[in-house]
Amino acid sequence: MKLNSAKPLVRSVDSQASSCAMPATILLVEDEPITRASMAARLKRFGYRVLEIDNGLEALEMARRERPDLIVVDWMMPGMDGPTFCETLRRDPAMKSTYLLLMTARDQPAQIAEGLARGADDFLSKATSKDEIRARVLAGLRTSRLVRELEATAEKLESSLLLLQTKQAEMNADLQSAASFVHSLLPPQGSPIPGIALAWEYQPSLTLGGDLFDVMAIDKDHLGLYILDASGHGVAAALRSAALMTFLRAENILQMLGSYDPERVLFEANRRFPMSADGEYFTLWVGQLHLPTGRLTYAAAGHPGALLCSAEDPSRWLTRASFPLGIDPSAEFASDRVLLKPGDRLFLLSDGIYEVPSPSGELWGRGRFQAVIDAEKLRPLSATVAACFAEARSWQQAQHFSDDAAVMGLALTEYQEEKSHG
Amino acid sequence: MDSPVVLDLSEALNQADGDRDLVITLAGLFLQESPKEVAAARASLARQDRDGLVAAAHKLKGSVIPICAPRLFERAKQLEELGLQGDFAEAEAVCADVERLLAEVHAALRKLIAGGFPS
Amino acid sequence: MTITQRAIKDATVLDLKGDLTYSNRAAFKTAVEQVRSGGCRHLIVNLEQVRFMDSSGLGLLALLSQTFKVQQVQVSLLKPQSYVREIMSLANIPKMIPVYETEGEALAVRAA
Repeated sequence: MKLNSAKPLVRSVDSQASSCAMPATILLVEDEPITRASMAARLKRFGYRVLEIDNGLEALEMARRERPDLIVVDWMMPGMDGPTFCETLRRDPAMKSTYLLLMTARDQPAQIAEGLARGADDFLSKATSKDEIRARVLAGLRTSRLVRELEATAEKLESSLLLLQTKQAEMNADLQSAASFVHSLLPPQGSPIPGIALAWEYQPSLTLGGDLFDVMAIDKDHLGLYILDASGHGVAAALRSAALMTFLRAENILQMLGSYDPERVLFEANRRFPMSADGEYFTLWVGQLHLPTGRLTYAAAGHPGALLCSAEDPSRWLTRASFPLGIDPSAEFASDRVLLKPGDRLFLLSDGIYEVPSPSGELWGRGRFQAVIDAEKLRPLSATVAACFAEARSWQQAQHFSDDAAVMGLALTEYQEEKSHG
Repeated sequence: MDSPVVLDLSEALNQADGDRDLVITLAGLFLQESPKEVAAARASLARQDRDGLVAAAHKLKGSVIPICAPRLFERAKQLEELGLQGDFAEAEAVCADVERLLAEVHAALRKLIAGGFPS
Repeated sequence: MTITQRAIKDATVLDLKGDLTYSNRAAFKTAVEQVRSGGCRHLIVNLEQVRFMDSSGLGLLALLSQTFKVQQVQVSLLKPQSYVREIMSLANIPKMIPVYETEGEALAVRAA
């Protein structure tokens, strides 16, 4: 039979095909016709689909087109030799899973090293026994299949990842709009109510936080104020806070209790918001300010709460040891009183602002927070609040607060008697 | 019957997994291709082309393996090695040997193709 | 956080080492459950090696107090560090669970 060695010769597998649905494809690259015919016949006898080609250049093209599972290539060929073929093929990332068997007449270590370095996976000698050839081919096909499975898995992972990222982006968008909503519930900055000035800053640790605070007009002479802290953080804490905040709204409390008396507010809140089965609870500080006199009545449930900063005296904390909400259903919360003068400042804050650790682990602490308040007392209220955050960030050497951090500053201005008498 | 020294038919058949038709096909191919290789070796030798000599001897050597002509194989191998060493003087003598042995193998192969396998 | 349990005369001690926080709550709950199911009558939680406690950690102690009170098992806290002591005070924990400086003191007080 005359064989034209210049053209690719394609043979398909016949009755000796293996039992699996798709026989593996082997590309045989060998310029010498007798060797090629002999090897091709043997590989077909094993049950594989064999493609034959007699030069490296055309073999590259065929490999890319047909994507054989395994390529047997002779070392010594005119034009492009075996190692060069391997090297060139390996430059194509799509050919990673093709197993390359280099046929060599010699098996000296130097040759083997060169072959491996240039991209061959294993070696075959022309004089090797047919059993060994078969074994190496089988091993090579097994490897090739494994690599293909890995590639398929990698692709699936990549598309899963893309999907996850899209979902994550959607969730983040949802969280952002929820956060915007919560933000809109917080009191406006500046002077929303005559007689006081407000400045605050709130940094939730995640998009949503568990701290909330508010200042409300109860009636023409009274303001109600509070700061609450839900244990934990994130969406769960935010939802619980929203529930307590709804309860604490002036309209709701007035309807229920007739006044914003801190003792009674806490007593009610304590009954209605017990600790959850998971140990989640609230801490709360509530105050009522009588604007004509500057008298502040306040009570706390486990909240470190409020810092009073007056012009002459050093700042002091307005709180006492008390249970958080919901720990003791029969707890009573005693209130205290203090007199504020125009120019005095009251800061409601959550512990997330001062419980920040330095890189070495030391907490910033209430003492250092207080020092900032005192040092900044002559500056505008908003500047003082900003300074607290700047100092805290500087202490922890990081921008982000790992626990929700809130500081609300309230400054008492001159009380304006209303022109009309009610 | 062919002397096993020139052509080891039973081994050739064994390597072809008993496929007699394949051995006949290979024989025909060999008859066709081997003269070209030997001629190429001769020409390379004449112009003292080491690479050309090594390539031709290597190719011839490889093509002999499925045919199972052991003495021819050894001579071709020797020719390749002498080519690598650049020993053209010695290579000259070995090439003559190769040509002689090749003629013997050709005769045996023609006989095989004409008369088939010995029973 | 690592938690080791040891038995002393009339009580079981849980030695806590690390931070009692949200992320460690499972370990704490498991350790407490193990003690409870062992039939202990007095649990002493040793806070000497607790560096930091967050609001969830406080909640865990509050839960512990409630659960064990129902089952009439005594709970004591031991040797909190100054920071932990301070935040526990603000939340009035000592009114819920007594705090002692030595095991001896804790053992001396037997619940009625």
